[in-house]
Amino acid sequence: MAAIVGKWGELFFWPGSTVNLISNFTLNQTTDAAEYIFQAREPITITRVGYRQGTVTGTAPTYVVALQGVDGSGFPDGVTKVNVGDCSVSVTPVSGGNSTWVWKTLDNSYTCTRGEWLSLVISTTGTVDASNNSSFAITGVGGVQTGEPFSIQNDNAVRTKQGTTPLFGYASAGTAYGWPLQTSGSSAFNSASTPDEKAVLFNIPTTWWSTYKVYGVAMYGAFTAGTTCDFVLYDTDGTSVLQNFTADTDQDHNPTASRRRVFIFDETTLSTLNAGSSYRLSIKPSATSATIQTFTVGATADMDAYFGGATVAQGSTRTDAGGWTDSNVTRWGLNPLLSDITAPSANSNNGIFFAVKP
Amino acid sequence: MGSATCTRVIVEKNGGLKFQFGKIELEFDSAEQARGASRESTDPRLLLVAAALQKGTDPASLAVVEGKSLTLDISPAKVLADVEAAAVAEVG
Repeated sequence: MAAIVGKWGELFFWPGSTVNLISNFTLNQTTDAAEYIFQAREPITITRVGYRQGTVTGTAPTYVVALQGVDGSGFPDGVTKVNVGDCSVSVTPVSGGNSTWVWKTLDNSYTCTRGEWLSLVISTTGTVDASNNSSFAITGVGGVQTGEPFSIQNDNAVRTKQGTTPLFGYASAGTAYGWPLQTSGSSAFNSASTPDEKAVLFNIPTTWWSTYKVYGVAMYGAFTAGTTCDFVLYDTDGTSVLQNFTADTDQDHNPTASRRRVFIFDETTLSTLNAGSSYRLSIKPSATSATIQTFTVGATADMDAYFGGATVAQGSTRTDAGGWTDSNVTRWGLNPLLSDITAPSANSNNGIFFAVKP
Repeated sequence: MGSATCTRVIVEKNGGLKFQFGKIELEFDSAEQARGASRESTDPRLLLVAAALQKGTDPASLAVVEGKSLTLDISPAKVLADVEAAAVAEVG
């Protein structure tokens, strides 16, 4: 038997929110700015920066998205990084781009070091007023209180640091970082809905570990009181049930409230799963609705910014036990809880640790 | 608690909703999501969103408040039901 290298852990395919909304900040003065403070995750050449456009009112001016440093107080240092020229890009939002994620290529790329403090600053020197402006997503995924990274509403030079997840992005030529988010929402559905079952489809790379078990599910969402809801682990064929747990929503602190809920599969013996094989972990409500959190990204590659990327985990749905439809730009609020993780055959020293997305 | 003034409601074609409060715009992908976020909140803006949603379950019904200014003062003594009733009257 292979050595157990991991006792237990949550696969944070869903990054942790329980209440979703996106808060946009309107830049309608030349002294306004949307600012995002973060540490670079890897030493890369940053060629692109990203933001989520909120709403254009009237005719928006040209805004500048600049890469700056961070001062000792956690504010942008006001100095745009330079590589031949400014590491910034000008953008002119139009209403057709409302509520969408936008990537822009910097006029000049910036090579950062691992852990370097950086800020992304959106501001304008153009003609802007209450009737001609654009808003930009400042925070989202409202249930998570964050300290780092964070965003700042700079309202007429008065800065207010925000306590929920900042929506921003930076990227090398091939990999996205940050929180590039296209939509964030919740979805109420029941056995009469289309779809009537939603799942996370996951396939653990064989380089991570060898075999493992799923002892439970962390569900991010809400229920209807006085009903039941099934959580099902399917085998690789998508139809054979390996494990099933029926939650009684009366056995809950506050079933209608959006919460992180942990349910434990109650089979006497848990199935042994194999890395390199696909499984689905689903939520399957009864005739009364359950609500599950969800987010989407604008492009498959943007999922690189989230644990597992677009290949290890995907969103999956089906109706009336029919064929599954998979989406590599969607995640649902369902995280597998693992136990009995054994070392990969190629390297017995490997191990995996789990944490909330930085 | 406090007060909140909703200066604009936008109903998106896809059912998404945006409620503007000064420079801040709260965006939801659906009325269901807005209700969920409002249900547990003491944020006056979200309470006002909940109140506006009393207009109906169809997001399109919120179009009647688009462009209107809604002001709601929330005192600690008030319960949410009172707030909703007051706001519904004002929205209507």
